[in-house]
Amino acid sequence: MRRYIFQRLILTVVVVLLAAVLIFTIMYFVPGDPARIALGSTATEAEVYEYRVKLGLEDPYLIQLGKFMFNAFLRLDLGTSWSRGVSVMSGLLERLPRTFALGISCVILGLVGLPLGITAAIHRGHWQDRVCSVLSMVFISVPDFWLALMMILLFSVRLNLLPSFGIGSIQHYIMPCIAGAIASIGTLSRQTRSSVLEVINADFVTTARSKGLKEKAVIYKHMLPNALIPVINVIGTSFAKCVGGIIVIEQIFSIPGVGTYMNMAIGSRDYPIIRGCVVILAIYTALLNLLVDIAYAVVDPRIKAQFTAQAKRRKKIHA
Amino acid sequence: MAAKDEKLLAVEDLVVEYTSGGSVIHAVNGVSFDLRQGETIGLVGETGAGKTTIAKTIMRILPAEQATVKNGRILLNGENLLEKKEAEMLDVRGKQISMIFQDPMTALNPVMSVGSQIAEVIALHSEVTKKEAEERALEMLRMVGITEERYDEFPFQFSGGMKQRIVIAIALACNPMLLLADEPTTALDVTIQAQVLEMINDLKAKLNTSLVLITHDLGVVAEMCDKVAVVYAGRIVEMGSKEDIFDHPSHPYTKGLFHSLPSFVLGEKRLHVIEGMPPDPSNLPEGCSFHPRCPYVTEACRSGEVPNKELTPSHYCRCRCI
Repeated sequence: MRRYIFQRLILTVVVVLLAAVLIFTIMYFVPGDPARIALGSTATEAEVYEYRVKLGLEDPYLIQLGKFMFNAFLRLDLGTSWSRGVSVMSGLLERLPRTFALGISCVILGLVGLPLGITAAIHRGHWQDRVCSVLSMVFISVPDFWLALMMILLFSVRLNLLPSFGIGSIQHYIMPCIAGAIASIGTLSRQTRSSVLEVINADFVTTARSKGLKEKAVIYKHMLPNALIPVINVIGTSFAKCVGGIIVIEQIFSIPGVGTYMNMAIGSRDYPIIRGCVVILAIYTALLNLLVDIAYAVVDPRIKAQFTAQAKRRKKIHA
Repeated sequence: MAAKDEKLLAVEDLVVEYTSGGSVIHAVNGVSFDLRQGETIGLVGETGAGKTTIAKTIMRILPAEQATVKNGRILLNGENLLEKKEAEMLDVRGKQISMIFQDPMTALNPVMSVGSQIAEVIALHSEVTKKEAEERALEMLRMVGITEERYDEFPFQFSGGMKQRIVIAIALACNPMLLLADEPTTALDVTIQAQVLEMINDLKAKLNTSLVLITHDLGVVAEMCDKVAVVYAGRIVEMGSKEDIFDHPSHPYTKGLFHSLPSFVLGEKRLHVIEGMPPDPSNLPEGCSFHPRCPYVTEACRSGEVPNKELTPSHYCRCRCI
């Protein structure tokens, strides 16, 4: 088991490094000159050139990349914002907790999809199934930004129940959470339904019934542990997708998190901030995936046994 | 314990139908048989003849949405299982009646250790602590010839034959009075088949369990059964002791079955077959359901109910021509 986690951890590090290289390369080739944007259209070519040298933009690609990677991963220094002159790391650290709070709440709210899907599958063909299926279809189809705007119209403008922007209290997070989680509730519910349906007529379920187990025990002890293994995978990917949604949602609700920070930086071609945000979000996504992989091994003995069996065999050889 | 000549199980005039997409499938059409303590009956017939449906009806594990029991009684020690409430059935399943399924590869829960799958049924039906249930499960493992260290292993770590032994251990863990074995060896290769059958026979003798053995293998029947019932299109067309059936097959279908076994003595080149296909259970022929394939068919066979004739006191046959 330890070996498995170690393997996955190495993979996670590789993914984060590759993501960093990728975002650096993309930003390098993106049109638009940060120096020109910073100095304005009245600056002369010479001034712009001088500024580019100062920012290090005239260095060859590989040298720029090397400097960035070295500073980011060995010195934990993501550079200084070009437009604001403050450290990107401190800017991120200030905003991260808000984004994480929003992200984790979306993840937790997204889990509502599980009971929805299970109910639909167990009552397949009945009204419960239809209600759950229609709901998840709607949840998947509704664009999150549109839902966010409609909620603002209803709950903030009309009913005056919830604040429409900013942070400060739990109420501020209610609408952003719902908007961010809605799509994952839908996908999760549909995936859960189909994978429960796959095992509902499985032979081992008949075996469980023929043991004389109560229907509840058949569902919770035999059906679900098998049905939820593929669902874990979906949970991982849909939560990674949440990150993309959060960037938009932070903008709509004016939440000063990583998303708004990045949006602002893209407008002013502030490369250090953009790179910093992407690296942080890549780490977040990679860690979520690592958690999913570990969860996989915990619930599926077929994966766990592979590694424990190897360890046992090695012990025998050494003994 | 029931007296030696008392019936443990009596199935009387059982009729089961499935509804599927508007059409009605007549899976079981008036099946009756009985079984004494310690006896083995073999249900023989082609795929789709309704054998598995009979077993599942006895267990009451048919899919409730599609299947309905139209008629009949299933008496276990005189109590009608079809009238029992679901909650009462929970005590019957696994404890008084248990079932071995056809495909051992899929019959076990893949994410539960085999030991705990055996212990589960023991803990469910007997008043024991978790520890005692585990000890009983270990004992069962030993009984089916699997070493104790493998208690915590998972089904994917076992071969097909081993899995079937575990399925058997689960089925016999609570000393059931009646064991339903639905083609227990069909999915196994021949050498393992013999081992598994021998083991079922030994355990059955040890625990004095009655057995309903579903198979289409006449060799298995010859080895295991006291009584044989030949099932065709949801009806028992011929029933008798093993000797009755093997020495004096009377129904044309039974004769056809024996005739289609390869004979090494005569050295025939081609295997005999029963012409035609089993009838579509949603559209059974009038009269005797075997008449379209029967070489001895007469005008009388094409309509009306065929009476069940008693040839000798234990040998029944459902054919007009006898």
